[in-house]
Amino acid sequence: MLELMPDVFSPDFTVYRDDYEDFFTYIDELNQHNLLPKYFTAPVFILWEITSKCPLNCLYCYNNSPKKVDELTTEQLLQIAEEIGKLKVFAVCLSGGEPSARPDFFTIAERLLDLKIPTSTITNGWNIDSDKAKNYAKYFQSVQVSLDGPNAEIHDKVRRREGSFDRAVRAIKLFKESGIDRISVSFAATVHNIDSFPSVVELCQDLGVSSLRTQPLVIIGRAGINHQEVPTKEQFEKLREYIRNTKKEGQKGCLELEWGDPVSHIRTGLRLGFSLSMRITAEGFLSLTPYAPYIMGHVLKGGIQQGWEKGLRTGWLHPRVKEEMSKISSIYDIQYLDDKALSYVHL
Amino acid sequence: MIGYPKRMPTLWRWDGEDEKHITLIVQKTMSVQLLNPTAAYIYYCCDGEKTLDDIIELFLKKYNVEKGRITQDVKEFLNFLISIGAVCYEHNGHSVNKLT
Ligand SMILES: C[S@@+](CC[C@H](N)C(=O)[O-])C[C@H]1O[C@@H](n2cnc3c(N)ncnc32)[C@H](O)[C@@H]1O
Ligand code: SF4
Repeated sequence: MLELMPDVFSPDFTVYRDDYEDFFTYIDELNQHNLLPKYFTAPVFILWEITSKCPLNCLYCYNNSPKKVDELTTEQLLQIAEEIGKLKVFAVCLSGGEPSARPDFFTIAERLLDLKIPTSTITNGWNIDSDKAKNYAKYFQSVQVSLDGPNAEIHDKVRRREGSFDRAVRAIKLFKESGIDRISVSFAATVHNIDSFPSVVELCQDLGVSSLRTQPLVIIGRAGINHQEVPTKEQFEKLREYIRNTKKEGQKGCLELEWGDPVSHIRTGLRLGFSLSMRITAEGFLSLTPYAPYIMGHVLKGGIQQGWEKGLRTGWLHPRVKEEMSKISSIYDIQYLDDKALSYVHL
Repeated sequence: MIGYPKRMPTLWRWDGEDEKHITLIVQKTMSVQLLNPTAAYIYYCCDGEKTLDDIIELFLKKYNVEKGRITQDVKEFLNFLISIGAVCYEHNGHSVNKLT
């Protein structure tokens, strides 16, 4: 038996464990006794970026939203939902871009609900009103709102649109009012906001959210272009230490603090060999996670199943992926993958 | 004691290269649990129609092991499944939360 904790709110479903050396020993033991499969029959989690449209323009956006791409039609998205249902995928996170910017957002969510697929979503909160919030409550098991500062001055600077803080906070309040139990917040640390994290913790407590998650920036997309915005190793260490200590002290009531780690995520992938997750981009490309930006298929060419069977299910073992990803020992190494992003891996 | 272990409604699937593992969602924690082939077989047998003894008999037929040991192992594993809410166990119309 092995419990795979899906972190359904992070952009990558990080299987993060503070004790991952022990976790690796455990994996090795299971492997010695042939108890682990060589691969899964289908993804366990799917991060589904349904659009690249976005009303904001954050300094660090890993997929460069907003951008103009050939997005899939409603019919094509519904076909993907159908396949997700058939494959019994255990968790889907609708992301983007801003997922709610697609007029058919709730149509897709409704289909996933009908298919009994546990679905969550991420939003910047820009266009949430009380009717929409009620729909979120109906369709999603949990909702994550991005909050990059404790006030408009900091948040709006990072997210580069005036009014975005007020709207994110309003969205959280509307989600609460509509009865969503699991509202989480994600905080992306840049040089502008990293020191304000403790105040974001206070704000989240006041707002009654259930968890607050952060992680080092993934230096891909706009975070690669604006690399001067990425905090130093020492700054991230300090943030991580703060989270560790605060958790130890158990002071934050019902608010759970979470730390994700892209490097341990990559190491886990390489160690397991098999994949748990799949990312679908707005154009329909299939890859492992945002951290391993190798395209291994397209939804319109054989669908999820073919992409999975032809390469993704053991994508971490692909010679090129293995060679390049093994060289990553810190988040600052991830940026060197960027020029390879959107390049096809030939399978 | 005659009782009928039964899988609780959740999303689950046969998994792995030879489809002998099972993955399932544990509703209590909303996590995904991967069951190795023997664990998967026990979980699969919990269809609400087989008794604990039936499951043990089936298990003995499938795996060549000693009965005494297997009885204890199956019970322990069923207790684990009950504790995480993946299986319920009814006896004379009452749900039991631990097999002894
Ligand atoms: C790409 S956004 C899509 C959903 C929505 N537009 C939003 O911002 O909440 C999903 C999450 O990824 C985070 N994110 C974006 N770029 C990132 C990066 N380079 N590193 C880490 N997290 C990033 C965002 O802060 C957000 O919480
Ligand atoms: S992080 Fe979200 S809100 Fe910011 S630009 Fe990217 S998609 Fe838009």
